[in-house]
Amino acid sequence: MLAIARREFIQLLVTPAGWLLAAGTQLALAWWFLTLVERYRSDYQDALVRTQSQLGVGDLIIAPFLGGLPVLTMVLVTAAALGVRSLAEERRQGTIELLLGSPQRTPSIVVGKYLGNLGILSLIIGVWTLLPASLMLFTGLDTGRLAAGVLGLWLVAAALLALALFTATLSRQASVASLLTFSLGLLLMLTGRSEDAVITRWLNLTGHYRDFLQGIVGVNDVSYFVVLTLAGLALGTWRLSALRQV
Amino acid sequence: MAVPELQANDLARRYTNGGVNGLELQLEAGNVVGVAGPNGAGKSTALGLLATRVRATRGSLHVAGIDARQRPRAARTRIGYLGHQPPLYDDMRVVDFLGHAARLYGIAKAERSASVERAVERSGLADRDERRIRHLSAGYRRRVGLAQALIHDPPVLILDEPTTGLDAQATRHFWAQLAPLAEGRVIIIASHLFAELDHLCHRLVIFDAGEVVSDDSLRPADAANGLLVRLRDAHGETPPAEALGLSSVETLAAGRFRIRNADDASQRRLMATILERGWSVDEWSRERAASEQLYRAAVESVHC
Repeated sequence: MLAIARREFIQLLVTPAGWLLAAGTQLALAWWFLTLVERYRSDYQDALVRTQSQLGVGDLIIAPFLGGLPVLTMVLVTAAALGVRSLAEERRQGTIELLLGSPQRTPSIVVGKYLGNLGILSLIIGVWTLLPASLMLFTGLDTGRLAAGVLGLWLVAAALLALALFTATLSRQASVASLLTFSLGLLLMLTGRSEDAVITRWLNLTGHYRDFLQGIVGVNDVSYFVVLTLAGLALGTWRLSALRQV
Repeated sequence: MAVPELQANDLARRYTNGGVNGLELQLEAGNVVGVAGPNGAGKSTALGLLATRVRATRGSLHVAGIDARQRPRAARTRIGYLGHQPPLYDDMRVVDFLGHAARLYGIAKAERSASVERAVERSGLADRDERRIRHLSAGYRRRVGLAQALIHDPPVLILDEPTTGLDAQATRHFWAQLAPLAEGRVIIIASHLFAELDHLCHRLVIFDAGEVVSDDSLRPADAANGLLVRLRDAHGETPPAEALGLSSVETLAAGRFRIRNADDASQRRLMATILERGWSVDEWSRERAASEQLYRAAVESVHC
């Protein structure tokens, strides 16, 4: 398992794909972050001082940044790209045969791939985090709230990556697997928003993520992401087992 | 009697449009078996079954004493497999790739570099081991595939048309790497190259429509280099074998001769004799490889 994780991690570090992904997403998110900073400076700062409001950069920059559509889209795109590259691409090129023909257990293959890609995804999220963390240079920052928000984002990414690995086992066509991942991610983000059914509300990914942005790390929310991650890995293992001995 | 390294009994896998039925095979260390058959005959499925890559629907398979149907992962530690499309990571250097393969096969860190060195040596990659795989020619890529299949020093090596797509020279080099590997090992190799099968294999299994239609031992390799001639003297009679002036002449029926090991020099000598004596030549043909004869006999008897 560790051999597979190591290979996944190193491969993305030594090939342009990982760097391009990190640079592309960072560029887009930097633009989004600077837009929020500029809006705060021009629209809110004076009013907050005038009214002696309790609101600050945590509410008006960090929470909208980490919880905004651009960051969630980037997480989804990055997780889909990594998951699909990891399995669908290997299936298309036939290199998956090396793993399937080896004595490694199927769960070890899936978890190894997952951990290697999660390592890269964590690095990318770490680089994204530098944007809101840079505010510490200019103002007092609720680091606990920032840490909770980043933890939430990391859990979202971890769950989406597990689902991406599963969808990547469904098709050897990277475009199809990417589309499936994207659709599944969007469904989880949109479901339960306007319905009262407990199940669909519980399934709503952004609903569980919202509390992290307020600095609250709840067991219910963490459990949701853990369950989603384990479900993705279990489904990926089930599908890969079927592919292993045709 | 030696313990079989590989034993298949009534092994079968049915698909809606084909598969393999009732495969029986018992192989001991040192056995090199060729597998041949028309396209779609079930060769790859059979090799997949033996390599535990295809799930059997019936029968039993034991590899080095391990019940491969019950414990396929354990059996894989005893099997090396190479298909016609080796699974290579192009971005890796040869040694790094083999190191990765060694980790996948659970080779301990202390033994890993020795395993890689041994596989590099056996596959003839010593002068290319630091190169990135993407920079290697098709022939060398195939050798990396062979090295990967050998990384855990398996007692059973299964090769499914390993030289498909290679040019003649690369094919020759690849087969030359295989011969020394046969010692103490079972090698099963599917190929359409009968001359190479003749040189390497002791036995040929021929598939057709998912069934084994022939399982025969092969003649000694020198038969593959034979020349068949049919000659007449000025009176229309067949000349005596001694008159040909060659030592390895065998008289066949109907005025034919087989010249074993007919290299260029002996062919030139024979041609000079024919011209000098004014004989007529009714036939001058290379003898078909033994495996090809078996193949034609087996497959044509089914289809004709």
